[in-house]
Amino acid sequence: MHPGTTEKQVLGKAAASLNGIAAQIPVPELHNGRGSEETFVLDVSSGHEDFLDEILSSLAAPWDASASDQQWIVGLGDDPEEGLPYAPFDESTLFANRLLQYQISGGSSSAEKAMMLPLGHDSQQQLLVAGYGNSGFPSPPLTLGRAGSIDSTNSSVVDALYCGFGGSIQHTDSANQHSLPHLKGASTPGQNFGAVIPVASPSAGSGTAPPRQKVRARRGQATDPHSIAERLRRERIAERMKDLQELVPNANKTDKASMLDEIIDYVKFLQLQVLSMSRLGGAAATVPLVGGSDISHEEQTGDGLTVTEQQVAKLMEEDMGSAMQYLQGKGLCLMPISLASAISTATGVSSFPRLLSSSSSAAHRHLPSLPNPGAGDAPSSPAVAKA
Amino acid sequence: MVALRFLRALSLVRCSGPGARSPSYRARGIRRAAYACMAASAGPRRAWSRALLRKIRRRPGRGLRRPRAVIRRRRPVGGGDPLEVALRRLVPGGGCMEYCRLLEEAADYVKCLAMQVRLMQTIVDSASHVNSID
Repeated sequence: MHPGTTEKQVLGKAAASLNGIAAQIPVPELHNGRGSEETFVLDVSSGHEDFLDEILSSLAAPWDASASDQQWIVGLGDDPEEGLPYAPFDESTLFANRLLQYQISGGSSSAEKAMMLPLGHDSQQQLLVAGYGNSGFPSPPLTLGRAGSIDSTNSSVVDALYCGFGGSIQHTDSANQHSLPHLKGASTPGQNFGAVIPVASPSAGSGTAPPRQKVRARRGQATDPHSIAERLRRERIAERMKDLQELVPNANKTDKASMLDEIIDYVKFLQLQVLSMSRLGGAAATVPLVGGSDISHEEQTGDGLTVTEQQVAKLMEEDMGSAMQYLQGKGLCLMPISLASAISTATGVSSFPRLLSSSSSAAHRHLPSLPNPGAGDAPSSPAVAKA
Repeated sequence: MVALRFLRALSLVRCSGPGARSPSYRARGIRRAAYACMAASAGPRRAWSRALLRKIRRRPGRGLRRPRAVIRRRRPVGGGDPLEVALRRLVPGGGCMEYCRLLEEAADYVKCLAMQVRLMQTIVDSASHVNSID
């Protein structure tokens, strides 16, 4: 590869932006053990091919690192004994996981919450998880996922980095013209990656309808009625997808297929929620209101939970579902003691003051007869904790 | 608007037999009531609400089919995209629509579903707060 003079200029500008940006983000992988950032500036003026090769190799390194991280994260997700609250015991906990995921997607990102993301999806989402796990895992700070809205300042700057490199790697003149506006334009947060590339190559035609940019058709195609109708249809579809994207949480996917996937999952989730709420309402009449009023008159001290516990044990004798719904109505949940102790040691004892382990003989007697193994591990008895 | 209808339907379900029926039957009744209220409040202008109401009302009288002047297309697409097929199955009445229309109906359906879920959640919360004074 023999880069021409124009490429050198682009490389120089990219390196300058890199130097300016690298001061903000610690990007150790790009240095590759070279020691300091100043060597980049020196290399531009002297070596040409070497610099390009170094950049390419350094870019390859974080990609490999993120690939290995993906496997690591997937392994963590599969292994339930790490203490992660990911193992779906029964319908309610699986459902609670999805609920948590949808609630979290609107909030901030942290390492523990990242594990709740379903890891069986495509690589984009895995890269997202790699980007989320900045605090916990030794993953590269370069979030190569296409989402720009995880950490807006970080990813927008990284997008500028990547756009600069992407523009320099392309060997066409149009790339040189477009790479500079990319560097400046990528400072807006949440800039779509996929939308940039079609603009850079308008001659590629209107294959996929980019959601933000207008598609510039070729000259001969404008008068063709079929292509016009097709273009119109595609624009309408893109518009509808955008509306759906606003409705559904976790809408930071730019790919149409993954967006559809997310929409389908959300609809299933909502239907499941309606079903479980109706079940809750259906069983609410079986809960003896006498017991409820008794509890409401008493003071809920530390021993006060024993009344609840006895009530739950009594309900478990007749119907497991009503017992679960009674607990749910009180804002309590059932979990194995090992998980409860893991959570309490992780978050500090003060957050779980009302942890009460069920030691009544009634509970022990009915454990083996549970039809679903999800209500608790066989060796450990269930613990009633305030959710 | 949905709330009034739903509360009224809920009271109907509860009045019919608090001790006579099993909880699962009541749960199914509540679910049906929820979907019916959702569809009724969405109005007849939406394809999904019409299809949903049709599905709910079809159960009591199976053989009675009034000839309606409805031109319904069967299977406009061969079903190449598995995602699209899944979406058609999820959204009521989604088997006969074009893709563009399907997305539109899906958006409205999601909006109404979310509202219904929020409503039910509020009801449950207020009911549980009545029972336990912490």
